Amino acid sequence: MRVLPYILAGVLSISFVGLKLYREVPMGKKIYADLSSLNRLLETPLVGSTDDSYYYFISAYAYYKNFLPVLEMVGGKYLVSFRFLSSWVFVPFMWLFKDHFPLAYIIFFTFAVMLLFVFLLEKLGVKTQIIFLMLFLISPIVFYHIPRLMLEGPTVVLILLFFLFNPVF
Amino acid sequence: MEINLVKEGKLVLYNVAKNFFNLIFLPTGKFTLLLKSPYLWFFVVYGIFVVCGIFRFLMFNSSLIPLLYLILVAIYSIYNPFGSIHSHRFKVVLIPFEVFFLGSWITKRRDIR
Repeated sequence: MRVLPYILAGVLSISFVGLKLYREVPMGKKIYADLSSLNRLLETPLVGSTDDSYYYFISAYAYYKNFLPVLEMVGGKYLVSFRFLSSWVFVPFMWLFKDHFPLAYIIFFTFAVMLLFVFLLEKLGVKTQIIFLMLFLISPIVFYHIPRLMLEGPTVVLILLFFLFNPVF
Repeated sequence: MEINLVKEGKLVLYNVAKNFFNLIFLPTGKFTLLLKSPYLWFFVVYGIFVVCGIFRFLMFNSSLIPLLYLILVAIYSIYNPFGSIHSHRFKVVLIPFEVFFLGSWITKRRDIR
């Protein structure tokens, strides 16, 4: 196992997250979410959030509070059916890291994607210099898309895991 | 309002095909604007390499992976024939496939699958 490509991937991941924060924190976006109520969660502009992140947060908040996509609203309990299947990816981060979940989500998936890319290339037997080249090649795309509160990160991680650990192929 | 099926159908097919190629070559919907930026040229060259990698896979190896890749692109092109502001997000899902094609092309190890 070669160590240098993994170190480069780690350094690039740190810089991606750092640059994302450097870009978005002065714009007034917050690193920490307020999970005391759904309204506060939805009203806080979070680092790395896109316009549809907040649709996922509604169901994720219901899972976080009630273990089911059920929310208490206007005196009754209602099933939140909007994106209730895919929003579960946020829930383990909410349970583990509470208010820090946006930062944890961003850091986890940026590192996971970059390190799994290196793992895939190493499994294919690509030379170290070519791994470096390909890491820099995909860097702009990873930097722009993965450190965000969206499903791109988890999807890419799933596809990479499919290539790495499937018994069929 | 009257709909001319032939005329509208041609337009839809044209947009599906355009979307298909836009998704394979990274800068979605922008590289048609005469490729003024060297950044766009870079991604078109990258896309050509990826297409060569896919063809190499299809010619010399009956793998399901390039077919899966092309089916994903086709489904997205048909699902959203007139493009979207979010279509570039879908491209991110295709990057692992492309890394796989290029990586296995470079090493000539196509038996991994």
